Amino acid sequence: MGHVYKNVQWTPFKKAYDLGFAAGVVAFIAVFVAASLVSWPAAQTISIPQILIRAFGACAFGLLHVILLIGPLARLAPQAFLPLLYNRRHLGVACFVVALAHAALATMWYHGFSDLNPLVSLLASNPRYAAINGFPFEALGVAALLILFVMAATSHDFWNANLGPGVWKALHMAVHPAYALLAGHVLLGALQTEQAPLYAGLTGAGAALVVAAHLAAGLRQMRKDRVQEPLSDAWIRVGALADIEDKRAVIVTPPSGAQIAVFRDGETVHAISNYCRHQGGPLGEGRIIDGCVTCPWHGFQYRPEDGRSPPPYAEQVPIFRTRLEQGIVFVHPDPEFADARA
Amino acid sequence: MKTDRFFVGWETAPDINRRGFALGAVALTLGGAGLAAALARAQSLPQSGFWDQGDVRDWRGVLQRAPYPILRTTDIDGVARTAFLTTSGKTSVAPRLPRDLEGPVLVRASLIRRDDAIMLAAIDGADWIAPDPGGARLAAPAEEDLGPVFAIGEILDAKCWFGAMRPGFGKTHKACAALCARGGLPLAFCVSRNGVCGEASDDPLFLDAEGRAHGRAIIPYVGDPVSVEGRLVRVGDVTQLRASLNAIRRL
Repeated sequence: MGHVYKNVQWTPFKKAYDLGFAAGVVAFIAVFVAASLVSWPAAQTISIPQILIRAFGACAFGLLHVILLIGPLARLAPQAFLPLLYNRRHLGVACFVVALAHAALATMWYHGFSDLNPLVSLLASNPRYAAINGFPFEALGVAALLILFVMAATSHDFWNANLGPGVWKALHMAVHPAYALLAGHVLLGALQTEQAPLYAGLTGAGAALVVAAHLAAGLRQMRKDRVQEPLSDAWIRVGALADIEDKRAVIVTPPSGAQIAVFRDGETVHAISNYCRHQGGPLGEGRIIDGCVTCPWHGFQYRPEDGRSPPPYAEQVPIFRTRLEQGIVFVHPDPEFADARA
Repeated sequence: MKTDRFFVGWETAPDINRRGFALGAVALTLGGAGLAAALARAQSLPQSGFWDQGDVRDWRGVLQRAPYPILRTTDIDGVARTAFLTTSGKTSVAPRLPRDLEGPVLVRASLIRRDDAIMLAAIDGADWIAPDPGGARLAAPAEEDLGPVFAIGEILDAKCWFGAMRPGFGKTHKACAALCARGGLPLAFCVSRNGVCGEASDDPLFLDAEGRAHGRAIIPYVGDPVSVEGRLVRVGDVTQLRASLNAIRRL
């Protein structure tokens, strides 16, 4: 299957999105630095590099929370949060850049200015991995940064297309171990010195929020994923046509095989794979626009008749046979294009 | 009538609740800024101390080589004080001391100071120190044994502690303190008061039981919470905590 690469299209929405979160990042760092400088007399203020290290670190950790919350929130309240999902990769790259600034400055400040290589100092100066209070928290931060780097470096659709959506998605699910590593980095590092309840409280609340949002989205998905048993002739009863919103779909889960999105387009029905070729987005939560099934995540489109993207694009998803009898919709669970199964 | 709103990001004018999105962005930015202010304000009080690296001056005094390179000087405030000598980095100035130099000297350095705790960071290059034939000869102070002591706290490098880094203690500073110890910089013992290390400025210099500098064997203990049994000794304006390695217990 071929891909057509095009220059990044900077739509007004993309520009507004990037401008918005860039302003947020700059505001966070600027306010953190300013508030740190005015909190104490000049002779007692925290050293500027240390203020910046803390500002970058707190900002990157906060950004990671936002990134992790967008996914489940987009499933729970699509109208409000799907627009945030569209450019989430930009947020991911920004998170990596801010985390890199934190790591570079901390390595220079705490591990530099000696005759020992700063990276050697960073990775080998503290071997107390068996101790909680002495644990070398820096190693956790390095591991998380490497994951964030791999994710940022492969965030472009070039990698998505060449690795395939399955591998790409699995690779980018590493954001969850990265979050766990960063939580450990914070708990075993900064929070062992900074003992204000606000820090421990926010770290705990952030983790609880991320876990709760994922659980809620997962439970909702489980309820929707209820398996629909086929009839004796292998066809699956979907339901009344009148119960399907026009241009929208219901998602069918056959006993075996992948989910099917059954769309209504006026008085006709079409069934295609529920998985977008781009990032595996739920096509069944999409809508028919200009005659094409449109993915809710990034707007990839497929013709419902043959599962192909409109020219010049070349993606294709499996389609399924449908039947309409006395206002009741049926779908056959065997895909028409087995070689293109998502 | 119900609106079936559907967002497609690549459209020139995506179907989006613009007002809601703009308000959300503003709320998120303001919320983030408020959070940043709260996080910054909640930081623990850094210790005092300063190091103005741009303010390089000539300091007159008497050179002393042990337990660390020291300049006994009256140039700070007219009183005879002990100024530890260091480089601009995390290495000792000892290897840069001319072998036969002793007595009155002139040192070109910037001042690191935390109240009465003083250190001079020598400029780079060989001309950082020179004999000062006309300089005053300050007498070496006598030792005064203040008796045994048990202390809980943290072993750290005196340079950061005096103001080179603020704060210069705690878990995040541990690797830096270990590098300074490796480089041969003077060590101090930051006494924990009510579980907090870092409030006082009169913490003692940390030496071995004989009053010599600890070697690199001390590095594993640097920056960790420890208890120490040793003796307090006053030498002029500097208090020393003298303890052997086996008198240190990690907490």
